[in-house]
Amino acid sequence: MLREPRGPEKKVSVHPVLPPELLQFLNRRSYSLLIKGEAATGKTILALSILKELGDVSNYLYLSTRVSPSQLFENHPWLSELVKARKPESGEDAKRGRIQDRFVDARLDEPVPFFERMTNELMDVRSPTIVVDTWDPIGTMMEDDALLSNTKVLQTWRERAEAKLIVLIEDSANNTFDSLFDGVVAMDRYYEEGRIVRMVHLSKLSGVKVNRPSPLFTLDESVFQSFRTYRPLDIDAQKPASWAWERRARSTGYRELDAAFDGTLPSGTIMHLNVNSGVNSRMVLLLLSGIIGRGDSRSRAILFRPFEGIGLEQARGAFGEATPIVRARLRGKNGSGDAETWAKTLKGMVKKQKEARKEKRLVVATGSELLLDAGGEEEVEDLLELMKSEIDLSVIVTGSGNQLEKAARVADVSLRLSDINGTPLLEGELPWTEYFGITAKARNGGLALGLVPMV
Amino acid sequence: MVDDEPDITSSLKIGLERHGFQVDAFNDPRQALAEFRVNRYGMVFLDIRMPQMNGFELYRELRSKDQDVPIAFLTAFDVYQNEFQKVFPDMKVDGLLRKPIGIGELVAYIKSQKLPPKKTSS
Repeated sequence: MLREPRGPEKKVSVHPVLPPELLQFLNRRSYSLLIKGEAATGKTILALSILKELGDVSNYLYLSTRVSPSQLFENHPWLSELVKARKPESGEDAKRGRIQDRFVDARLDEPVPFFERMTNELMDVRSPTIVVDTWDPIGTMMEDDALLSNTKVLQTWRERAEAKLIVLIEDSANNTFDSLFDGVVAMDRYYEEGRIVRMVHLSKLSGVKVNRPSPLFTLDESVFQSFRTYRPLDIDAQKPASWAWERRARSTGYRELDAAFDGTLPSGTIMHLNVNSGVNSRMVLLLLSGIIGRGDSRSRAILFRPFEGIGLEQARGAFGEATPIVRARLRGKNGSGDAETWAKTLKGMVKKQKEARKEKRLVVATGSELLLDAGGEEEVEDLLELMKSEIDLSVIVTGSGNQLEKAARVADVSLRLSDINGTPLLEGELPWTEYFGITAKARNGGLALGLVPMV
Repeated sequence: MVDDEPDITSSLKIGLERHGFQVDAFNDPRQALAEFRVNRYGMVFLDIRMPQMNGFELYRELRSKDQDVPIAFLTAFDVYQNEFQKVFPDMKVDGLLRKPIGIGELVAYIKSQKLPPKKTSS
């Protein structure tokens, strides 16, 4: 369902994650793909990622008209893995000197030698993958008609050689070549409140039904990684993995967030989670289960107040049956005694929990009503004082329509959970962070969430 | 005959010589270029993909020495002359022959070119 996250501790090489529709297209025996996009939108990384993910590592030609091959290797260190991963040189390959020529510096090529390089490959090699990065310099040196004619002819040769032709162009407004290619994808990048959002538009993939035409992606670690959508039912069907609360006592549960916060969270932290409309409550719970923790729960308890349509039973299902979850009720309400404040109610609950086990870590998960109905300024102060001194972590969840100001004002950490085109995203408002794509991976019979920065 | 595969050049050379042609065969395009002489050959066959110098590069060098000698490329796929000329309008290529090619086919092609007799030596 979601993009597979990186391993939690061990540094491993990142693999490209291509949108499933593009992956299906790339599995054709022969194709031509046009990758369009302005500078720095990720065209080169997508092309290299395709090579890494799918390319026949002994049968490709990368023609670079923009940068030297050595610069490419410097910009994308994992390319050295691609070279290392090549099949052992056969006698024929070695004899023909093909290996050395895989990445070609074509910056100074006039159109004729440039086409020679391609025809050289297409006239004598079965099923090569040829990448042209980028087409623009060649286009500027040729008349439009001649360029179009050459492109048509190359397509014929490409089909004959059962080759795969990937052409990059920077002039994304130029639609001249669209009809000549089997596939056209356009790379897009824009900013929302200073945060970068990357999107790839799958404009045309012949023979493939495109269900999700504009998936988001990241170029984290110089590798193209698209984010996938999540399905709440999938989340429901899987039990989250257990982990030891003690080891991550004050962690956010996500190493990327810990890094963004310059370390783990101190005890007494108040966290505000603002959930945009459209985000499913299961996703909220799954995210919180990582932050609040679950699994071996003898030394902790959750004081819970229903929020944003999430009730006690749902919370139990998400946070683990073994974790004591105590529903916070405002005593004295509904005429059943003297009205108490939330501060006093919570204080009583804390006392009871600590009496049962002194070192017990307490977590509060609540909506904004705890603050809104706290009473006057003094009562709010009492409540915050209690949260700071006795509660390990307080999470206040609010919806987009709720009064956010109060929760945001008292919070030490403020996060926002949103959704763009079906991809769940998390961002830090306090402190500020870039967007994180939320990924999920089945692990130990459960579901482990991961965060990948969208950079 | 220039091809970096000795098996190909030797078999084609033997086959053509049986049909009465005299053939110089080279596996190194640089050596072929060094030994090329104007008016010595009636026809030149070039492989395209060769390590030291590809067929197109060798073609250019040969053309700079001899504007008239007929030159044909050997390719792995069917490529048609008119398509080739669209991409390389300035190239005077006399044939695009598909590899592998049989001796009979090669002989038929050479005879179809109605080449003028040349002094040959091997």
